Amino acid sequence: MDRRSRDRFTALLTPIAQAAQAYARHLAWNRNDVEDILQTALLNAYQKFGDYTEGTSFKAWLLQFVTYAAFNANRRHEQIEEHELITDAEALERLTAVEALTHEVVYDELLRQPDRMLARLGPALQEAVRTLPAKRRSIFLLRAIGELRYREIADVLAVPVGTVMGELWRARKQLREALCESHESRP
Amino acid sequence: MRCDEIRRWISPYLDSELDPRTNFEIAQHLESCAACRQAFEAERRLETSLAASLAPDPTTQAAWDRAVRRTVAPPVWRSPRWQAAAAALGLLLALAGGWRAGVVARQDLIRSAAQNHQQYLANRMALDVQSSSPEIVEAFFHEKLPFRVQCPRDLTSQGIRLIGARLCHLKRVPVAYLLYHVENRPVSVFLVDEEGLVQFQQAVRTLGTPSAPGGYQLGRAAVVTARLAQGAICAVGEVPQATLEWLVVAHTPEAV
Repeated sequence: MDRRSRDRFTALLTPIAQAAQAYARHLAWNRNDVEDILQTALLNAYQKFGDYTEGTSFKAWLLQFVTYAAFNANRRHEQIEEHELITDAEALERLTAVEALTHEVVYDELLRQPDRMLARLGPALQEAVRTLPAKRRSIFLLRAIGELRYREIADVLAVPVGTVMGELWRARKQLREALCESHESRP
Repeated sequence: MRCDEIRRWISPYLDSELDPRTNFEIAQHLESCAACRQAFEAERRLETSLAASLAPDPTTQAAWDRAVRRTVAPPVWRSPRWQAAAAALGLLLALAGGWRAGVVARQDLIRSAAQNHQQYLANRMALDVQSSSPEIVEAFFHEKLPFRVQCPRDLTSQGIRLIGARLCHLKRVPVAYLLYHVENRPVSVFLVDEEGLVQFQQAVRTLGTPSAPGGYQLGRAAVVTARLAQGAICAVGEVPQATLEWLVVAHTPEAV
């Protein structure tokens, strides 16, 4: 790669560094794999930089490489669930289930004081994220950390947009439930 | 829409992913319904806090910095100027070192390995697999070579990192090529089996054992070769010879 391309690649990396790091960090099943994941993703992206189209989202493009590298690394530690990703229609049917959560006292507190609650429940949140099914975890993180559009997430993971919406909702609900449970079980 | 209907869309609404019409209907409802407005706003705050709680830590930052450096930093020894300087220095050292270096440079296995290593440095050779996982690299060679490739497991304590591998040929003999980084300097390791070793008659006569490997200095590069139970190993890199010797021993079946 010539110097100009290398400089361009480096310049594009700078503004997305935090997102890429956080994404790899929380997508990795094992924290010791994070550096491997980042290294593999960057090397692969660098080699394929000629395929990147200027003007499109570099963040979405790079996070795709991080996703693949993380999925490969995670295979050594977890069984990638082949769970059925729910479809758009099914997701919408279940959306009302969020109501059940709003009745919980703890959840109300979480909504009122999220920063204070999360300061105490940070480790519980990270563990809850880690235990999400692989693709659901990826979808949640691509949205929460990567701030990607549903369409971009769908492209990264090669799944329908409806699936992204459904899985994202399920991830959010699962995390909220885990946080509530964690808070209630604390001494 | 009623409140319960509105709240079904809370997730895609906050993500600005709804179609314009539904989005407009919800926005209208929120203007007139304080309870829903508060609920939506609370969910938005919570989601923002959740994302903020998943920020990277300093360890990840350091790993990122190293990964970026290894990926895009122009290695000084790859730039044409440095390559020319290194070649000139190598020639000088070869001349100063007398006939031994010259003989070593002509030895078939070392010569082929050094040439391949140079090709990698000059970016003329890509890896077939990029991974620091020994298991992945071993799996890559499975069924591609007539012998089993085994990679050492714990090298990081020595500052050595597996980068990847490729199936390459030395004198038309298929060999396993493993690329390592030692303090960001590339080290090439070649593994050839007993059958392939027949093609390297000069090497066969001079190979040391893993406990007493043959070590040579070719200009800036060190080369270490050793006979294995079934074949031979050759490591090349611009790193201390002792490091290569350690790496060679780590590849012996007993060590792996």
